[in-house]
Amino acid sequence: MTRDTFEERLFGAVKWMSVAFFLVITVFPLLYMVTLSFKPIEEVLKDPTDIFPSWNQFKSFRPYRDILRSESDGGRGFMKFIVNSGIVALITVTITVVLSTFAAYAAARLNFFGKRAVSAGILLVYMFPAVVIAIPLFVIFSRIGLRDSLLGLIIVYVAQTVPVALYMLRSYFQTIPRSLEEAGLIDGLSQFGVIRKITLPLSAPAVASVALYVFMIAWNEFLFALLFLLDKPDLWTLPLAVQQLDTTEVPRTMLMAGSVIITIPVIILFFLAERFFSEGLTSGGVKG
Amino acid sequence: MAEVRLESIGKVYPNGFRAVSDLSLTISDGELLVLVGPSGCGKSTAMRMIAGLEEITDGTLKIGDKVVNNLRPKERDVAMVFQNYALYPHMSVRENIGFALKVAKVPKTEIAERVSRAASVLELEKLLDSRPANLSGGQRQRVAMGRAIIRNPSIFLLDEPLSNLDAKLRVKMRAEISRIQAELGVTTLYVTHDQVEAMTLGDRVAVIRDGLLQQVDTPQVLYDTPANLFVAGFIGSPPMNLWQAGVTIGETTASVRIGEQSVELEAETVARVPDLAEFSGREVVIGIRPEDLAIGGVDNQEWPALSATVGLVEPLGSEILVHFDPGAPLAATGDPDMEDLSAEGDVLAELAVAKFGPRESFAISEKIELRMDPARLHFFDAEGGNAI
Repeated sequence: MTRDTFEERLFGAVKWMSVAFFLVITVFPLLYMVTLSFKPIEEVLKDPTDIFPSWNQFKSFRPYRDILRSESDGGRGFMKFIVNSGIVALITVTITVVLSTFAAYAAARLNFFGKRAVSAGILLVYMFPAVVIAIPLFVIFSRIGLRDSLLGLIIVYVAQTVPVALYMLRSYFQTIPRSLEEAGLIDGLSQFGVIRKITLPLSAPAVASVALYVFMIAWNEFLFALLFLLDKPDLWTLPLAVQQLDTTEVPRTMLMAGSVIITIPVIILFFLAERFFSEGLTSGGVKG
Repeated sequence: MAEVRLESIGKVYPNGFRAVSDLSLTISDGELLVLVGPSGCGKSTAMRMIAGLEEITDGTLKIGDKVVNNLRPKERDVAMVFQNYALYPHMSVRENIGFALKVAKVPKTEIAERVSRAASVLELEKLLDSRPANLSGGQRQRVAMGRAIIRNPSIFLLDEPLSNLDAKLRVKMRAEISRIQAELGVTTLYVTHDQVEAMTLGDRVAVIRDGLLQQVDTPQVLYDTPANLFVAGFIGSPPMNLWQAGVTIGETTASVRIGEQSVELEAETVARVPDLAEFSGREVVIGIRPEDLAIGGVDNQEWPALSATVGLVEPLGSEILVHFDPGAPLAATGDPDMEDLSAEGDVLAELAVAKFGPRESFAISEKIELRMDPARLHFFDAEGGNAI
């Protein structure tokens, strides 16, 4: 065997082994979560090898119907929490993406006083752990009456995600050849038109990944939701609501159904956005 | 269509770097003017100031009768072809070419018509629905041209548009650009560092160095009577041979000393360059083009003679280039690109060169006697570099 074929086979084997490894550690828990949302935990404990729910358990869809039904109907009111989480996540994504796009463009392209300080300071905000600012924020938001509201939560999420979003977008903007924007100026666009018609379309992959990142943060965040909203069950977001299911009075299937509900949107979004990540949009525009 | 007038244009960057100084230049209506110079000489900066991509720090820029110093690019009615083409990667060729018209809100049917007309001029019809990523270098270059010509602008600005093409394609596109420009009659500024491109394309050529204009004239005048040492060394390929030489002018005789050799000058030469007398007893730079050197023979017995050692022979088929050493180093012209070559130890950059017919033969290390056409000798002030 030559060294080339040996290396080729070795790397081939290592590649598939790592794929298999990551598949097992990611898919297996997911599969268990889905199974446990249909099948009572007692049954699973009796025979751990039988991981698939019976057809009848699956068909009934009961834990899901129970959990989604409103409380007045004897359910857990998850429909409401989905809506709450959706509102919070979508508004956070919108505000963060718009804000950080403009800020990142300015940081990447325009010259202004203090530009270097701003560039260096972007990530500084991110260096404070959430726990450190949680209590002061709790106090401040209580005083100004933002505590028991989704708005307060949105403000915190935006503040938390803008630095990283800005940083990611700025790095991406810097990779877009300046001459493309200059060509736009020559072709009659205004500075704003250049951003809208040239820079942003070319940045679709970066904007998509930033949006996905922000969505995941806002959708999954627990600490601030707990601090701000615990007294107001009407305003709970999904992570908080799922956490509240974790008591002995609630069947495990319901807790697991809640977990599945919280997981699925992120997975769907990821597959929708995947197309953007793999496409190299700027290739072919310039040479040299 | 318009005349472009640069009046003492200057550019100083915020960090204090002066890229262009006191540049005065007029590009007549319909003319193709080439701005040529070594890398980093400020020629691209000058073009970008005309385009409106770079702020003008001194002087006045007029397009037609209008001062445009503070107008934005879109208000100047210029079209530009970028060195790297700068095609919009997210648009098809059709959209790329028609983009300026779309921005200007030209009706769709008219855009379609003008795009197809431009595409037929540039032979791009079959590629209209491709993306730039799927095009070859030459095709991308033509799309970039298409984007410029579709607009009927007052001015074309071409920034080294051919430098990313291979040699063969470059010659073809050079002819193409020349044809299109003549056909449309648009005032054009063409920036390049390649003096061959400058000579073949330009109605007039402006040579620029370190942000300063050296000479602007028709290609032939630049070639025949360079205003200074830099232009002499820059225009022409292979370049003019230039040596430091001491001049002695007596009552009846005149000679120059090149290295160890004393070369007699004819009375006619001295008469042709009367100012040379002032340099008697001082150093000048003497120059002669490779094709103005001849092998000693009956028909040129009167010409000043120079003996030399052959260093390298390059037969090109139609002619032979003989690189030789007359025992004196070549004079520096201030072309940074050439200085880089000799700093790298490039032997050719150290040798003078002569051009002969293909039927001559030479051997390396052979001693030869060259004759210099006295009517084609150039003299430059060794200090300022200006032509005498």
